[in-house]
Formats: sequence, C-alpha cells, structure tokens
Amino acid sequence: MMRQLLIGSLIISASTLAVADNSGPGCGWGSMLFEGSSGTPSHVVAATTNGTSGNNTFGMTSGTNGCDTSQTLDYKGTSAVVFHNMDRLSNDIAKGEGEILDTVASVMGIDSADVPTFKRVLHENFDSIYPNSEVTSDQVMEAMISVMEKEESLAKYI
Amino acid sequence: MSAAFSATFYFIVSIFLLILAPAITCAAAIPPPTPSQAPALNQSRMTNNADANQQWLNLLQFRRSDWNNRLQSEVDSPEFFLSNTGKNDPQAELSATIEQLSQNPSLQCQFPARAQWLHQQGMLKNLNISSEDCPDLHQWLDKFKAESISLIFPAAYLNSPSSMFGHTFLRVDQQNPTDTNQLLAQTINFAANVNHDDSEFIFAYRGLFGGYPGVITVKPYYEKAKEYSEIENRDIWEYKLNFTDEEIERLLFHTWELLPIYFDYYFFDENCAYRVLTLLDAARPSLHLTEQFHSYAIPSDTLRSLNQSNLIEKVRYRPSMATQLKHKINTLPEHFHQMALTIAEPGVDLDTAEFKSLSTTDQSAILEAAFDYQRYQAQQQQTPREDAAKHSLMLLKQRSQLPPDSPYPVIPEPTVRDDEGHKTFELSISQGNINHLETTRLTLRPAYHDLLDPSAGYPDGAQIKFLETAIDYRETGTVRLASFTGLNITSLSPRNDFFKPISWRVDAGLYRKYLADTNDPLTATLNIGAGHSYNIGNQKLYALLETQLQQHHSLPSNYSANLGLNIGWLTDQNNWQQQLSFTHTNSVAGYNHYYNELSWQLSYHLQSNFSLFGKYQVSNTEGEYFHQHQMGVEWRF
Repeated sequence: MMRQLLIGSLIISASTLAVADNSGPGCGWGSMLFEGSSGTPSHVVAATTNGTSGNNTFGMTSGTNGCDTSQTLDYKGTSAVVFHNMDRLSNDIAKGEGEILDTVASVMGIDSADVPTFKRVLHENFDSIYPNSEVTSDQVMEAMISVMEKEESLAKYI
Repeated sequence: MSAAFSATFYFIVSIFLLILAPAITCAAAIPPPTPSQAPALNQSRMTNNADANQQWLNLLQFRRSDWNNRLQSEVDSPEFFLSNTGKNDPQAELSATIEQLSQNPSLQCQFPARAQWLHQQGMLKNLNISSEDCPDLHQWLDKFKAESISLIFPAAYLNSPSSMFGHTFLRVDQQNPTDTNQLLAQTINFAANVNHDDSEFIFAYRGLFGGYPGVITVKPYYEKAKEYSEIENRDIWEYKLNFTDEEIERLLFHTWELLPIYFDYYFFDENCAYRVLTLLDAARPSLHLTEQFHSYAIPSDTLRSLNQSNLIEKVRYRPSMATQLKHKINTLPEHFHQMALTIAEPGVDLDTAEFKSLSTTDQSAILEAAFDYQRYQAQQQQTPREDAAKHSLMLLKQRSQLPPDSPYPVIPEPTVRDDEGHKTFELSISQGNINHLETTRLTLRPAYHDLLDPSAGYPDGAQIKFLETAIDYRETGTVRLASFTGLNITSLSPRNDFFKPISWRVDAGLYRKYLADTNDPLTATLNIGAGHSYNIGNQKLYALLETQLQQHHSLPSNYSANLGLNIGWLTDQNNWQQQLSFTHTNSVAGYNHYYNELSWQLSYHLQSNFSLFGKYQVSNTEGEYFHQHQMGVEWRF
C-alpha cells in the first residue's frame, strides 16, 4: 500500500511537471493549497525525487517540483520560502501576522523596526498580491516586491 | 496446533507488514547509490589498543552484535572503509586510516572527524582540514551557520496509531536563533531509500527487516515542518540540545563523512531514531546513547534517554494544522460553529447581513476557522477542486479586509509531552477465576500502549499492542498459553461537526474462546472492524462493525467466519479509566454458532507506570455461559 501511495505521489508530481511546462494552473496558489493529503507527502516525495541526488547535499532548490524555475527572482532565497509555503504565507498576509511572514521578513533582511510596517503593508495589499487563485509563487513574489517599492521604509530592502 | 500456529503466524506477519508499512515515515525516494570498490590496502600495521576506544568505534559506526558479541560496522558502503577488512576490524581500519591520511592529506577532507580525532590522540601528525585544504567541506559547513543542534520529534498523528512509532531528525540551528529563522535552519535526516518497482509485500518486508539502503538527506526545516505539521498533521516537539561548539563541529564533520554512504535500513532498530543517536554519540562520546537500544528503538524512548543524559536544554512545541484547527474550534463560541461550517462551503455568499452585523473580532475568528477547516478538508479528500480554491481565496480576502492580528490566543503546550507518557514495556500479574478454575496470569507486553493505560502523552483513543503474551497457571497445576496478540491496533477517533474520521481496529493473534462442543481452544483469530466514535467530555462511545476469522482444528469444520458488532464505553479520568464493551458475532461460514461477550475493565493508576486493574467478563454461546474475573497489578518500564 505504501508503494501505491508512492506511485500515486509520483503521478501527482509528474502531472505537476507536465502542467509546469505550460505554466498552467498546476503551480498556482489553488493547487499548492491542496497539495499533499493525509499521510501522503506527495510534494515532499516529489521534491526528494527531483531535488536530492548524488552527494545528498543541500536540497534547498527552489525549483524542486518543476513549478518554480525562475532564478532571477531569488531575493536571497526568499523565492524558495515563498514557493514552499504558498498557502501559509497567504494565510499570514490575510491576518497580518504569522511565522511564515516573520520568516520571509528575516530572509529579506528586514530590520526588526521595519517588520511591523512590512506586515501591515502586505496585509493592506492582499488583493494585489493574490488577485486570483491561479497566481503562482513567482507572481506573488513580484507583487510583494512592487508593494514594498511603493513604501518608503521598505524600498531599501529591494 | 502446529498447523494453526503456522497459519496464524503467516497472517499475523502479513497483516503486521501491511499495516505498519505506511508508518515507515523515514522513507524517501532517492536514486540508490552505486557502491564503489574499496581502495586497495597497502599494508596493515597494528597500533595500540584502538578498539578499546569508544570514539573510534563511534566514528566508524561500529556496534556490538547481540548475537555473538562481535563488533561490526553498520555502514554498508565499502568506500567508507580505508582497510578492506575495516567493516569488521576497527584495528585494521585505524592503521589504514593513519597511514592513508598521512600519505594523502587531501583524503582528510573526506574524513574530517576521523582526522581530527587521530590528530587529538597524537596519532596523526599534520591536520589538513582548514578551509584552504577542504573548500567543499567548508562551503557545506558554512551553509548551516551552525550554532546549536535541536532534535526534532514529530508526534503521533490523528487516526494513525502506527505513527506512534514516530520519527526523529536533527535540526542545525543558526546563529542568534529566534523564532523567525528557525524555519530556515537545515535538517539532517536518515531515510530509507525505497525502490518503487518492489511489490507491496516486498516493500513492507524490506522496510521492516532490511533491504533498503538508509541514507542521509539535508533539507531546510520549512520543508520538513510542512511535511509533518501540515501534510501529516503531526504536532512537532523540538528539543534544543546543549552541545558545545566543538561537539557541534564534530557532529557536522561526522555527518559529512556519512553523506556519501548508505546503511541497511531496519524499521525497528537501525531506524532513523537509532541513527540520530549514533550522531549524538559521535558528537559527545560520553553519552553512550546507542548502547541503551539493543533490540529496538522507539523514538519516544530515545527521547527519554536524552532527557536522562541531561542533554535537553529547551523544549518547544509546534502544533500541527489539525491541532490549530481543533484549538480554533474549541475557542470559537459554540453558537458560531454552524456559521463557520456554512461559510466554509464553496459558493456560499459571505456578504450576508447576519455576518456583517457581528463585531470585526468575531468575523475574523469565524473566517479564520472556516479557512483552516476548508484547507484541512481539502487535504483529507485529496482532490484539488477549483471552486474550493476560489472560495478559500475569498475567505482570505474577506479576512484581509478586517484589522490584522488573529483573535485566537496562542495554543498552550500540552502538559505532558509525547516522551513523558508512561513507559512502553508492560508486565502484569493477576489472580482470579476463569471458568471455575482459580488462575494466576502473567502478561508481558513489549510495546506499546493500551486504551486503559494512562493516556497522557498518547493520542486520544489510540492503542497499539505488539506481541502481548499471557500465560496462565491454573489450580489444576497446569501452565498454558492464555493468549498471544501478534498485533492489535485500535483507533477510536472521535467525530464531531468538523472532523469525521472512521474508527477502526485490527487484531491478529491466538485467543481462547469458550465455545460449546469444544474445550477452550487457542484459535488463530483475525478481527477487523470499522465504525464511529464520539467524545462527550471524558467519555467516549463507540460502535464498530466487525469481521472475524477463526481457525482451529478442533472447531467443527476447522474454522469460523463471523460478522458482528462491538459497542463500547470508555471513561478517561486522570488516574483511572474504565471500559465497558459488548460484542455480538454470528457465523456466516464454517462452524455455525453465535457468540456474545460482555466485559468490564477498570484501571487505577497509582503512578504513570504502576496500575491496579480489575476485569470481569461473561460470554454466552449456544445457550451456555462462561465467567471470568481477575484482579492484578501492572508495571511499565
């Protein structure tokens, strides 16, 4: 039965890869929201399959399931964090607080004095960061950057 | 008897394999490594009494066999050894290592922990592991920004008692650890490297008894935390360990040595929890943690030994997504429950006058509960739904228009951690009357948790009994096997408005039943049941439909296939528990009979590892009644 779970997971990951080529909805917020299932770490298996080989060094690759391929939007590793935490980040931004939001602030190197502004600005701009449920992690990243650029105290972190 | 026994043994093992297979949580899917030839050994030189030194053995992952007391390394990659007899001979490996690390200093980059140790012991003259000597090693080390080590223990999860066996891994915390960058820390995991082409049975067999290579993986904690707390819905306990900088460096050096190699992986002993202990032993040789686990390593037991070694500095609790949702439901006033359920439904209009009339705090609370519930539900159903995704986003949008900061309080840490519950090996002695014979019963249960054991630190309504054996001494002077439970897993997960789990039970073993026309034969029995359970305060009510197979040569037609119903009532108070249970079964094939059983059991816990219990049971079949009662004591250690 584990084998079936694993095969199932691989099929899920394969289908994600397939739609990734068309940059279709498979990598959007909605799909990330429902990835995995009880006891079936499909994404994790997929990530491991693609991400870890050879010397088993760092699996910190942003493009682990083929959805997020843009390295130009890396921002000191923020893309990977955003990519792996699409659902929790949106939840945190909606509430204006949370661990993922703190983590993103930390990766972007935002001073603790500016963190409250960072959270407030993202919270207020939820609609422009998440315009629809097909938004991809790259688009979320871009929208966050453009929201920050408009805020004087945050523009310096871009 | 022997035919029955072998048949039983076969199906117990099969069921056991199939049930526990998904619990091999250490599993990962990584291309198998290709073993390469060990380097040729030039000469063998004896040195002083090296095998006496535990740290050398730690660094080579040696372990003394329980069978013949011989030392052997558990590493199964030949390239890990510099002597071609190194797997069995630490002395030869020492000589070869000294010689080769001296002659070829660049080899020290591959074995920095060994080189450092030999240098400290005065056996290696020049140490060449600086960042100039070994750029790859130091580039790898720099990524950790290591300041402290935490042991991470994802606890058992809802409706999966086999996850009680758990998983542990290490997290390398970064400098100035605050809550904000914990998720960015890297983790060190041992994982079984499974082969997707294997059949289910082979998969389960190899996972449990060996055959899959175990390897180390390094990944960011946000990936692992997500895997456990969001996808598997397991709470996570994080134990910060009080290692010094030197010990942390040693641990990472040794991890580096192990990265390219593989171990045979065994679910019970050489599992992830055990392998983590070997790393801790290598970091601080005085710990001797692995020596404490000869036959099997249950992760919560390994945590107990860390606690005894005074290694734990600080503990942090990370509630899973399901725990967060439960907490929200428990906090949300009951008259808002229905509203949260309603607005979680896709397509429901959120702009109702009723909703808008509430305070913004109440609106936030309802929206947050509804979002978490929808996300949880979507994961359980395993299917992405476009309308559900759109609706989820609507809920978040609505929430974002309300003032920031969640109205929900921080989730309190459970008072008893998963490693602070009762111990898992149980011995009990009872005295009583069984079918008109005075009987003394001795019961041994190697693992793990019974519904009537103290529940603190264990998942609600979960039971795993493994290899429980009861032996009776009767007033006639006879000694006999009263019962043998190969495996009993019971999961009574309560249902409510939000959670709708199925409760289930699998029980395979040899049990005596008082049946008409026979003595009380030791029948091979397989019981599988499914149903519902509900919690009312500390009370739990459950009903399971059961299918049962019994086999014994003394039964008319040798076997009986039965269908039945089991209903029960459980009370769970701090220091006592009771269970009242009624079962009715009717045969559908084989030996034609019906069977009713009513039992009542009470346990009173003097301490978490010491209890008194009493049990009364009456059964009725084909017009005949059989009674038994026992009172006794239980120790858990």
